[in-house]
Amino acid sequence: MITEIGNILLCVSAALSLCLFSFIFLKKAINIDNCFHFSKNISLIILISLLSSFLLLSYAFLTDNFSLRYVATNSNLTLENIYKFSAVWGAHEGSILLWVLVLAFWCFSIALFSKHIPKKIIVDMLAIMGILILFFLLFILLTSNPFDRIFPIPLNGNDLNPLLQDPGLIIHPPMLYLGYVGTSVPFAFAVAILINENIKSEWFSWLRKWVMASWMFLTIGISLGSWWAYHELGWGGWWFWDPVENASFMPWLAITALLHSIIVSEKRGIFISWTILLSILTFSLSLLGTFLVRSGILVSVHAFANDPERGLYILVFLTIVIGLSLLLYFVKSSKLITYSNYNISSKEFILLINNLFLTVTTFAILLGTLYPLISSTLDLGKISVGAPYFNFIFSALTLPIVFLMSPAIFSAWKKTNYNHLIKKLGLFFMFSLIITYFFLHFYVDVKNFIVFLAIVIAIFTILSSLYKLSQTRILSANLISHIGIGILIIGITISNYYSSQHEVIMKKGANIAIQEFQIEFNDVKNKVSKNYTSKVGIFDLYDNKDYLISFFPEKRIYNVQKNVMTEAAIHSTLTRDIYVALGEKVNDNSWVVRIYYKPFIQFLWLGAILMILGGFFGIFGNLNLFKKN
Amino acid sequence: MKITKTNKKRIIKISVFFFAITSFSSILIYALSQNMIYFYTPTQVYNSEAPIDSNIRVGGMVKVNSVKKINNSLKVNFTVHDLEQELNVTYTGILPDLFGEGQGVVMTGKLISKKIFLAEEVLAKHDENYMPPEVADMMKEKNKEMFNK
Repeated sequence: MITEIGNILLCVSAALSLCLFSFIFLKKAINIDNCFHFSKNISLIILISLLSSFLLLSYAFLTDNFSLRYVATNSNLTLENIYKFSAVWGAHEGSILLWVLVLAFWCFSIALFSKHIPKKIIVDMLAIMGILILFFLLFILLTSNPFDRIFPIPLNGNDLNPLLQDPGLIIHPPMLYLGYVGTSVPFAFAVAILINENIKSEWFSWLRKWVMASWMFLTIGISLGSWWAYHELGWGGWWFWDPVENASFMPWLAITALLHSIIVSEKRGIFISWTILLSILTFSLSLLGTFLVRSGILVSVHAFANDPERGLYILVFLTIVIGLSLLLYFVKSSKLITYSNYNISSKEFILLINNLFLTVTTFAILLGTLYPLISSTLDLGKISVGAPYFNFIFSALTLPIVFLMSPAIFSAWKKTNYNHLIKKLGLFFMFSLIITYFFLHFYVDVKNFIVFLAIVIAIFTILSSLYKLSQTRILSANLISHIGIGILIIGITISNYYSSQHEVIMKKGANIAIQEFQIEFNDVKNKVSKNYTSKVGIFDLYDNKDYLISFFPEKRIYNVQKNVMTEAAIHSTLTRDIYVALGEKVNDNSWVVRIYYKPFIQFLWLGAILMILGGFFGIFGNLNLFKKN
Repeated sequence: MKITKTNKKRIIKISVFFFAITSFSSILIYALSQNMIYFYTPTQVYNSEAPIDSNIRVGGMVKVNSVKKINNSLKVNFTVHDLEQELNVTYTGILPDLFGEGQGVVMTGKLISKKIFLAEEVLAKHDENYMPPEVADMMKEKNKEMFNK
């Protein structure tokens, strides 16, 4: 039954999305109000129908319906219920279903919150969302149907990949998808604008909230992914420049650029053509990310499918979407009225530089990610691009952007009085130099130019944002996010340069000293859980002989797939993490133990939370601190 | 052609843009060329195709019964092969959870000599069916060659 109902729901949604697309042509024949009304209702029905098919699949997981191949390969009777639910999007088929569900969600949201935009534009946007939904539904129905049967029906399933059995990963994919797929909104807007050859700068303030929402969700998704990698992979790292991470990071950079260029288009009516192009490119990068992750040409936790047919389908789709929309852009963009007069001493000029740097960074990461694929396809040799490339590019290109945040905050549109600006910022910069000097001298005591520079720039940004905040008394999106970035950079820099790592063989009862702490290894005990058995290490942490806390890192063996997983134990305070992971058993009395001391790593998560909060204010309006009084 | 004021402005803009693009891309290409790591098979190493003492990646299957742990240290020696040639590997550190004899690995490190590879990083991700793509490709080709013989 479930197979039939699921397939019917998918087919109905596909047919309806074709209907939705047809309004792009029908709107000339039918009254535009009716057109809008129909489109809105159809998008609601698509959303309901896809949501039902999604819930149906979840139901199949929760009731252990192993007659579905997808359930049988990704679940197990002993799996905890929460992970049975998250297993719905734990592998290829289900995650594409989630993708198209999210697309339908954004589509209906456009129809719902469209007061300030002419109906003509909205109908076109919905039509474009419709054709995107259709493409993804065809992809599901033709190559990756989660409702396919398996015969004979197995008695038990193959279990969910143990790496994915972690709380951080339950909401990581939905958040990431909300962000990824959210870039379809500016894309649909850009295409609709080009088709209609009409643009008003007020419309950008509407679009900005959508882009902000997409940016916020992508930020949440990426930070959760990082947080998961830090806790679950057992290597103490949080970012590996893995191609799949890059696939989510490139759209993030592009959306960040888009947010800033939209502001200029909104406030000054310039860069419109560039904003439109950037919207198209951002969505293309999201699709490229999907292609890279889902085609199986990359190796990673995320690349489930190894089916060339699927990769080919997305590649063809990608080429069509990028090709057609760029063609449309080059034909039509000249018809949009644009002005491009700006002064070098203006806010718009600083934002132009911001866009230039962000675009180059995106391109550099794209190059590093795709080059190994191109080289291997053209038989130029199998190569990989090392992390030092990305680290170099990233620090060389992002520090200037962060440095420019302070002048951007205080400069004015059209023309800024530079003398005044330089006096004020010079003072802040002096302060940041002094703070950084004392901080590095007394706290971590290392002299490294890059570290010094990065921290000065971060503190400079935080100081000027705080000053502006105290002046305006408004918790605005940009100030909060910029403070978040400053804190993030402090976290990245210090945790990267001053972490210490120990891999040692420890006997029971032995001690090891790290900074001012001692860690004592007591024992290893066996633990039996529902779907795994584990060895649990017992470690005590002392701060100068005073007992602080005990650690319980685990080495798990999952029953079904016989996978070994390392669960690290972490003790965090604001200024440092101590991270203990069990390595392998040497003999009955001793184990290999991996211990990390990571200063300021919590600043990473704190910075990310502030950025997300900034995004929240950006969508729902800034919080005015005066209003309360 | 007369150079008007707007044209002059445009020429300056275009040349600045051009200058920015070329300098950015040369930095990128330089950084990229400095950080490319090539992949070799044990046979290629045996045939002296791989450079000694520079960063490379090597992949293969871990030979059964070849993993030797050195007492009271994190040092471990093992052999990888590609059905044709073998290569001795030495590594100090914790091996990944999914490392095992008879399974595929990809390592980053340096050749000390033609016979010994000093691994700095050993990767063996995923489930028991997983094989790194480089290793999978390599094994496929080797199988084909042997079949043709």
